[in-house]
Parts: sequence; structure tokens; C-alpha cells
Amino acid sequence: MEKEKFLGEFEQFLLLSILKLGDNAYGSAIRQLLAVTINRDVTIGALYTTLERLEKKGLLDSKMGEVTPERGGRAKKYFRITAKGQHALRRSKQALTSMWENVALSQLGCK
Amino acid sequence: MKNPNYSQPPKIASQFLSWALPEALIEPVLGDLSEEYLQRISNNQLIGANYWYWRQAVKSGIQFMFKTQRGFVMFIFSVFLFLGFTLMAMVLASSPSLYMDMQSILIVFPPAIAFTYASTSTKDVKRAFAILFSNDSSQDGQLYISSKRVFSVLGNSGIILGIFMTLIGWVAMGEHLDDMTYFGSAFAVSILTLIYGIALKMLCYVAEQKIQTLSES
Repeated sequence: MEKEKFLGEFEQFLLLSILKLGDNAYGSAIRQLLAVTINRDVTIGALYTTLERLEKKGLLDSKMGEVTPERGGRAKKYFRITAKGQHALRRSKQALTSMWENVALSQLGCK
Repeated sequence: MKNPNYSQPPKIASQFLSWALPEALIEPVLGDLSEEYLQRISNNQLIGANYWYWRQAVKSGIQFMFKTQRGFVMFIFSVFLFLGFTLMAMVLASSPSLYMDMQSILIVFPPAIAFTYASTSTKDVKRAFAILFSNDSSQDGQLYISSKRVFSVLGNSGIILGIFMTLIGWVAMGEHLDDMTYFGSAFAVSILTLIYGIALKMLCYVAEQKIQTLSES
């Protein structure tokens, strides 16, 4: 049986952004949250590529929302984390926490 | 007073992105970009907002076009590769200017284009190029047949004109076999006409095959 893989760094950032934004998790809001919180200016293309991948894996689901004038009459696409997505996020966090246990950066040669 | 046009994102950038994006993402992605563009405009960052929009559209568009418009990208790439290698061969052989002859160009290309319009129609020609560049495989089968015919006529007219004009050149050369100065230049022009005809036929053959592939997918 194939081992379940851990989430990548950017995947974790996206899932956490969606959790933070709650019902308002759509492309532009996620992009701006990443820019403000971790100073990461991602292109909208890179963002949607990863969101689509996560959706295909079943970690996210999405629905089209309302049309607004400031969007040129185009609808928003809202994202929500599935139970499988929450499990993957928790698993990745636990793995990182375990790996960081009893590690001091000075032991790795950092001053 | 603010110009209302300023709130519109750059049109060409939006069109490029719409072309490159998968159908399902056009609405949310363009909507997200419009929304953020408007926020930047309202902060009086017109130049910055335009630069930001273009950067987002170009980078995202390039990222998606290799997936959604792969056939078209490969077609353009192969044409540039062909032109690049042809130019390299010309440079290595002597000089590219040796292969440029306006007389031969005028003998092959305008008549071939005129024959194409005459035997198909302006509408067919426009649709053939639109299909070739759109990578659209969802059209009616008859449209692909008429588009293939456009490139077939264009390519075949090109090569037949090339052969025909080469033979005319050889007849003229035969009249002046004793004058090598005339013979040399006339021979070069006649062969160039054939080369242009073959090049046009080759490009049209690739276009024809691409449309065939689209019709079968």
C-alpha cells in the first residue's frame, strides 16, 4: 500500500489561509492574506493551479458565488476544506512538530 | 474627475489570459484580478495597478497556456524552429540576403493567396486561421474540412506556382546559354521561386495536419 504523503509548504499555506478566511475564502482574498501575513506575492495562476490540485485530491471543495460589479460582473469561486483536507493538514503539522522536538538550531551549526 | 475608463483592466492582458485559462477558471480568475485592480486604482496607483495586472496576466497566462493551448504553442514553436534553422543554413552557406528576392516572392505569395480566396471564400480563410490559432476541437466537422481545404489550396498553389515559374525561368535561360552572366542570375531567381513554393507548402501541410488532429480529437 502506498504511503500517504505529507502536504507541501505552499499547500499548507493555502489550506491555512482558507481556514482563516472561513466563508470568505476566494482567490483574491487568499492571495492578499498570503501577501500580508507571510509576505508572499503569488501570481493568481500559481494560486489556482494549487487550489485545483488540492480540489482534485479531495482536500478542498468549491462553489461559485455571487456576481459583483467591482469584479466586472464575474462570480467568485469560494473554497472550503473537506474533512480529508483537515486530516491532511493535522497530519502534516504533527509530523513537523515531531521533527522539531528536542531540536535546537545551534546543534545544526547555526549561530 | 476620474476617467471611467481607468477602472477597466488592460483589455489585451485580459484577452490573453482568457485565451490561456481553462474554461472553468476564466470567470473566477478574471474576477479576482479585476477586483484587486480596482482596489489598487482606488488607492491612486494607476501605473502600479496596470503594471501589476499585466504581470499577473502574463505570468499566469504563460503558466496555463502550455496546458490549455499546447497544440497551438507547439505549432508556433515548430514554425519558429523551422525559420531559425533555415536562417542558420543560409548564414552558414553564404549570406541570408542571397536568398531574398522580391521578384520571386511576388511571383509565389500574392498569386497563391489570390487563388485561395478565389477557390474558397473570405469567410473560409478567416475561419481557417481562427481555428488554427484557437485550438478549438468542438466545432462542426464541416468547418474542419473547409479549413483544411484553405490550407491545401494555399500550399498546393504555392508549390505549383514555384514549379511553373521555375520552368519559365529555365526556358529564358535556355535562350541565353552562351551568356553566363545572365544564366547565373536567372538560375538563382528561378530556384528561389521553387524554394519559396516548397516552404509555403510545408507550412500549409503542418497547418492542415493540425486541423485534421483537432477534427479527430
